[in-house]
Amino acid sequence: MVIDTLKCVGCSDCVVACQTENNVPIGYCRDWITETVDGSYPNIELELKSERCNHCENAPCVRCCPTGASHIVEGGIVLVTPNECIGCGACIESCPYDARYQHPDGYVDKCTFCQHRLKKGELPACVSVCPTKCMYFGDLDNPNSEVSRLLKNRKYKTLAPEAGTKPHVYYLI
Amino acid sequence: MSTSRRKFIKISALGFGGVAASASAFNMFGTNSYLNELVLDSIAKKLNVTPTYCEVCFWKCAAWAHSDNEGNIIKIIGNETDPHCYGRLCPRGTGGIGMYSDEDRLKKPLIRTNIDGEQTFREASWEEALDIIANKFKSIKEKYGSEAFALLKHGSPGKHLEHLFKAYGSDTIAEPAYAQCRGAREAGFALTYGSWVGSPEPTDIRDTKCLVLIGSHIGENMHNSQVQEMSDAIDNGATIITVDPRFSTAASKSKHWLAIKPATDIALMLAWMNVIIEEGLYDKNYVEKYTTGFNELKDHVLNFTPEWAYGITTIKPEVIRETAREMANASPSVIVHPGRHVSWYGDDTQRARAMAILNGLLGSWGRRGGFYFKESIKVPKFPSPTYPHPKWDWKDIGEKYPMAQMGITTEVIRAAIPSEDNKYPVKAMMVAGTNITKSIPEKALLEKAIEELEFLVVMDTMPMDVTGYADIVLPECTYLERYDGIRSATNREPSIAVRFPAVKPKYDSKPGWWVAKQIGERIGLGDYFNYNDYEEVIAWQLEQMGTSIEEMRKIGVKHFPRTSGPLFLKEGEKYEFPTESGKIELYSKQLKSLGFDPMPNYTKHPEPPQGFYRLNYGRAPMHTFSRTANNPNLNDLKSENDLWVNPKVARILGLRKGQEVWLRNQDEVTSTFSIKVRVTERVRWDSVYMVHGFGHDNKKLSRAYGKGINDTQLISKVAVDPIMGGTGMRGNFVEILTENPHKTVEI
Repeated sequence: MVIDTLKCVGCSDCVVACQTENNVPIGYCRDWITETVDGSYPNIELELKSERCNHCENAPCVRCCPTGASHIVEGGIVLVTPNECIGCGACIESCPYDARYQHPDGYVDKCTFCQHRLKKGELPACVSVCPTKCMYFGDLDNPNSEVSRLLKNRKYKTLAPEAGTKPHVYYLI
Repeated sequence: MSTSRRKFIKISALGFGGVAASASAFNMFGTNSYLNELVLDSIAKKLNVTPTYCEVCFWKCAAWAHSDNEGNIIKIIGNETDPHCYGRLCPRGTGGIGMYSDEDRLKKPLIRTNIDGEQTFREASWEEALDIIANKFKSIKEKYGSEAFALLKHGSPGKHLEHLFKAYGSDTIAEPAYAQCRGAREAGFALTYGSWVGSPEPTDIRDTKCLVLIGSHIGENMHNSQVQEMSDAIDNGATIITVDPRFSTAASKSKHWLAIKPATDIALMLAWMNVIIEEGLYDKNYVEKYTTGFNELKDHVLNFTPEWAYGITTIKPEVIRETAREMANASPSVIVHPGRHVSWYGDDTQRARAMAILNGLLGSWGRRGGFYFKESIKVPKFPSPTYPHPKWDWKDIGEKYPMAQMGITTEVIRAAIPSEDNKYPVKAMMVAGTNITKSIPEKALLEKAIEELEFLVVMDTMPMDVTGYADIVLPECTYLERYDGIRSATNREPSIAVRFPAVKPKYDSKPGWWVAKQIGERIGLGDYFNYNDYEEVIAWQLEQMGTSIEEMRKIGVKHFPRTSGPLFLKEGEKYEFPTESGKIELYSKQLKSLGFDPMPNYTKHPEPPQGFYRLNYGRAPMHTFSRTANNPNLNDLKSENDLWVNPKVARILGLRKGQEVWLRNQDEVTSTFSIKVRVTERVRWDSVYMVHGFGHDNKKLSRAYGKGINDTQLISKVAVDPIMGGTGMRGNFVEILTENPHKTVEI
């Protein structure tokens, strides 16, 4: 997933679209908006961006899961199998992105990149709803995909690179 | 702005204890993620899909409501062919399900009653409530004439009631969308181009090379297609110039942010005109061919140099020159955006005129990347008798304001207060779809008027604050549960969209069309409501337009070919503008003849006294007006507003982030509730800022009650635009109180 911070206006549509698509209870969220302000009036910079699970290649949440409920599936998506999750919360603590939460039903929940939609050839709900079209989703292994081209042609960053997680969400800057 | 992670952690910690008890809930998710998907898929398959258009704001994006067989709305997705949203709703549209699912909704008609000397509401049947209302309609007409019954409205329900009121003989109708919002803009552009800007604005943002935003915060206002097109413009490398004393989201996307001193925009625009004319940067062919009054304008702005404007606006002369040149370089693909909420300082029509004139000099009206010639298709009116002619109407009430082209809410409200010179006394009022205690300033005036009214009936879906003043409250069902009129909007090409009910009305709520018809029939106006169900009206209209209910159920939005000609002027085309001169009027003879400045001038506006800060307000992208604060989905994104304070001010006053404060304005109006401080460099040291629409005082709004401050409460002083009657609301000053000024606090 590639997110263009130069276009995001921080409207939170991705948050509410995810909630309704994935039946996330009110009071919880799988994605969220952050706002960073730098500088002082009138020389200010503002960065708004939508954050979620980074679907890391080297995912601490998968490594620390005692039951194997957290796992990586084909395509690099990190998922949680609810009925294998004992709700110990180790993954929540291990995640440098604070991307997981405990569902009121006990298991740990997080972004799935809307895998159920991907299987149908649809984009994740957040990507498909975004009014600024600042989110892109596709195959990073394919050098001709839109996401690959964006990363080739634009400056980008990942979050918390120091954690060594090899995240798969990229931010254009 | 953000969905707080802190809140999330707190809640998840509470949820932890529930693990063992709810372990059985896991079974429904299957044994692995693959089965999990299958379960989700099968749930998704059963959903019914109904065409609608959104009513959470005025943009009215067409959408598909997805509902299950149990009558739950599951999600709402934008209609891909709709030019208002291109398949992408904004957070409010996506969260529109909360308008339906909110358990605080009005459920039954309520009638004010006196129990042991205490005024309260009792639940009533529709029959009883409608009978009382119908009797009031009759008695007001007998005693004072139909004209004395006024309607203040907004949105779709307002349309149905407007029909009822006009049939009854009253055109004493107004809505805050005019005098409290975009009226001055419409007047300013009509005076220049002969036509309103209208909604959606005909700005060709997607193809623009330069977008100039003056106090317009696209991205915080989620005027959907405009937000989308601004994104396209960013992709295309367009220059954005934002003029705003606050570092808005749009400012952060801009090449130039002009951190202007509040209330000085006209001075900046005059200086821009000066540069564009003096340096010969204007579109000479266009100006010569299509405009009138250029020489007068040239003389007028001669002395309004960037150096002159610097002392007023604090914008450096070189920045004024550079941005003017940048606009001219992009010409004619440049948009000086007319904005939307423009009732700021009382000279708002003149400010809109300055914007209109700049666009004229840059040749952007009727040009690609500037403004396109909009077009809509007329929806035929369902057969009904002609309306009677009222003896007086909204025009007479607003007669002091020669360019008022719609009812002025504040004047209609004032007309309810008896006085010797009140020629048009309003005695009863219906309010629908607008929470006037939050949408209209000068609360003291409003309360006085309400006190004088013989009868006030309010129709809404939610127990908004205004319902507390009503004699009768009618629970309308939400847009997801009703038919409404066909949406026909001005756009690049004409299109229509329909709203069909996705689910049955919850509780004992009813659609607005039904309420209008029931009252109409009770007062002998049945001929005006010659149908059993509003579906019949829509079916008839669609048939006239060459389509049908069946087709629209499948497509939701239908497009029609343009008939008015191309979107843009052809090179050298002869074109007559619908003004008196047939040209773009840089100099306005009409304004001159009415005794106003024929060209805009800068007027100095009051500044905050020592210890006070200018109260500025704006929008958050996930809320509309005061309408959505209690919506469970949207409240979850932002549950209260906060007070933006510059760090310098915070240091001087010793304010901390998150500290609760109260505000008191220049008229000693103190906020009922407190607000949390947000210390941020994004706001000037002479101003504070908050998002409009919070601080609800009706306890029945369980999520929104007492959360944040209602900015409108502190807008007790307005600067009235003498041209069209708009109420400028940005001239109120507040002091920040760190101690609770209320002796007893209601909790």
